[in-house]
Amino acid sequence: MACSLALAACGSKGEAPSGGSGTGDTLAIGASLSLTGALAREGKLTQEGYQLCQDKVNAQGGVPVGGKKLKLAIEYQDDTSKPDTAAQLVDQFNDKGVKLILASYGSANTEAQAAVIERNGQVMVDSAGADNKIFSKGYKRTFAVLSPATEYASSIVKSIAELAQPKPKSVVFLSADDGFSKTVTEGGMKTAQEQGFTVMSPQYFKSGTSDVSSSLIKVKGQRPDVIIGSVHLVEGIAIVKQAKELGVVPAGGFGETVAPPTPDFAKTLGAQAENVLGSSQWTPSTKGEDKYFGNAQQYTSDIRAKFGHDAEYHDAEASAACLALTLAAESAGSTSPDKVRDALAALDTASFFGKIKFDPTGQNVYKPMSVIQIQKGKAVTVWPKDAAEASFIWPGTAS
Amino acid sequence: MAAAARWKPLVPWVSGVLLLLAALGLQSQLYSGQERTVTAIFMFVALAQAWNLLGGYAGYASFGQVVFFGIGGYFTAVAMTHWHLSFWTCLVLGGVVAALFGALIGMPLLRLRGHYFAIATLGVAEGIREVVTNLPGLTGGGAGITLPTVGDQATTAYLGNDGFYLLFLALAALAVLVSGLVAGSRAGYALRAIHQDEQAAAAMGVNTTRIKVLTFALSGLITGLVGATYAFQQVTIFPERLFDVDITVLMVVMVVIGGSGTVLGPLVGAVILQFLSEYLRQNYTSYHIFLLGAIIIVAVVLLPQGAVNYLRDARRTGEYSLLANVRRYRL
Repeated sequence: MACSLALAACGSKGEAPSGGSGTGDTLAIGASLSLTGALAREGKLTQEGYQLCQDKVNAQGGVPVGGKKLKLAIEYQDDTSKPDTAAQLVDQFNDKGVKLILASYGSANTEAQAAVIERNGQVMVDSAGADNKIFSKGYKRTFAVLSPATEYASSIVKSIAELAQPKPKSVVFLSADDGFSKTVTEGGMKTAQEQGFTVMSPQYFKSGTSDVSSSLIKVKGQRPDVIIGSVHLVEGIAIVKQAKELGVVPAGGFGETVAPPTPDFAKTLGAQAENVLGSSQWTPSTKGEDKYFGNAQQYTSDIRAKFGHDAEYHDAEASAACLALTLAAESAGSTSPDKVRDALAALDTASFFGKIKFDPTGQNVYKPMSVIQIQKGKAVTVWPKDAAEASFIWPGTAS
Repeated sequence: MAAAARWKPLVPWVSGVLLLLAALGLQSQLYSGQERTVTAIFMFVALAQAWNLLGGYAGYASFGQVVFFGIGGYFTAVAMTHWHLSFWTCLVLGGVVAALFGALIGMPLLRLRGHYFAIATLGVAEGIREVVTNLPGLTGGGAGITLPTVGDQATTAYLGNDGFYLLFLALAALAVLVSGLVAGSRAGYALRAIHQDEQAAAAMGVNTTRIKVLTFALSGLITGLVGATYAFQQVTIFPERLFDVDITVLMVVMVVIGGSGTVLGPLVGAVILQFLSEYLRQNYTSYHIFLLGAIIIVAVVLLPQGAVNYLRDARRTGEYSLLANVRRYRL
């Protein structure tokens, strides 16, 4: 029976070499990365995160799987930041018998990969594809360690609702028009309504633009208390800069999703960046620890020692994805993709990245996002309260 | 001797059919991932052939060729999602819409020559991408659009790697066939005459505007068919990728390396370049683009007329030296 099933699965195709994962003393993992193209910077950070994970696990002799210690052997391939190539690479790994996959950077690439993973019976841990769309298709073999896109702006809204004195009344969202940013905006607006804010109609602009003035002019007359941007770095800088030029000063302050935690944000804007809120998948003050990386503080110093820069959340989410896959192989006691999949579905662990546990769709909805605020040129964690490094300054536009 | 001469015109047909059979036979030997890689080669064979129709034979280099690819793809996505048409209907209509668009923009643009034509077509492609990005209700905008391939909404079952292999192979074969027919026809001679000297061609009675517009539309038709198939294969498509200028650049480079204005050139160029870039990417992860660029530069310097034209010249003259070749083209 099993034999006939296997035959049916193979069809007329040439037989893929079997046992690529876990032959000898290594655990083979495939990683498609955006090493060139538009996402090359984030792709590089993702690679660092995977690499540090491999080093850390192998420094302890490898991962114990079924009585044997297996060294991690991550094979990297460049997907040139293109979803079609990322998907093709997953197929190529499958040809080589590599069934355990670490995802590429970004939602578009990850979404394209997830479909192929499902078809091939591989397993993928997603480090940087946060769009909830990926998880609405009933896939059973893709697991994301990061908080979903809907949390990016929601966390900022929650922090304001909880900590801002006086509590602002109205919020407006300025959003880039890519899929990820739109999902962020929708999630944020929903939370804002639940928290009792007056939510004005959102303004969309082209993703990657450095001119957001027309959106700002539209919201100027509405006098919102808080402006929240669902943006990347470029648009995030543009909002703060052009708001100042156009005299759009919200009574409360600015919040922007992924731009403020990036060091370039404060560097570029200087004093204008002060008190802007941002959200981050991870900060060095995140609570929790695990046996390979220790806690978030140790993780930061390891990244600094190895790569010579401060740890960014892109590093951390990649390491966490690799950690989840490693821990799942260990608890499965096997490298078979089906068993690792089941172990991932059952995983519930603390880590330097915070809690890792997946809901039935494969999302890590249990991990809170952190909210940071730029204070004296540095991004400091202000929410959730138990991980706060500094107190929340409000209103952010008083100075 | 006479018998050999009689059979000679059949050689391209027979070799074409043999190649097609070989490609069909190859399919059962490939793993799923390799199958996908070879599918991408077929796609570029079709695209390079389509570009060559006007760019190679007539010397009108369109740098916005990807616009037809994008139009074919987006037409398919929108028609399948909003109007619930089957993929096969969309495929045909997508090609036709791209061809009509080619005729429409060809009428004004093909009055430009040289760099001006290249820049104008580039502008059209960028412009249409912006239009697609800014119609989110219809096209999903920057967030992309997902074609219905599963569940009740699916109008046509997803073809899988096997199906797309065959479909792209069919498109590549169609493109080669069209190119071969054009090359041997009156239209082919007219296009080459335009390449040599457009005013002289007009003076000899060639209706230059008509033939250029028709060829541009034909080229758009093939590119549109490929775009439609690509969209269905990818399932989720984004404007940046469907109107990616890289795709046009690849078509041009493939034609130039293979030998422009020939039937075999784009085929050879697409196979070599796609295979090479895939090989380099798999084996030299961090500097494959640099290597590919260097190889393209060397190839263009040594073989400015393209591989196929070089071999043809060399066989005729018995001069195989690459240096002599460089000298002949006065580099």
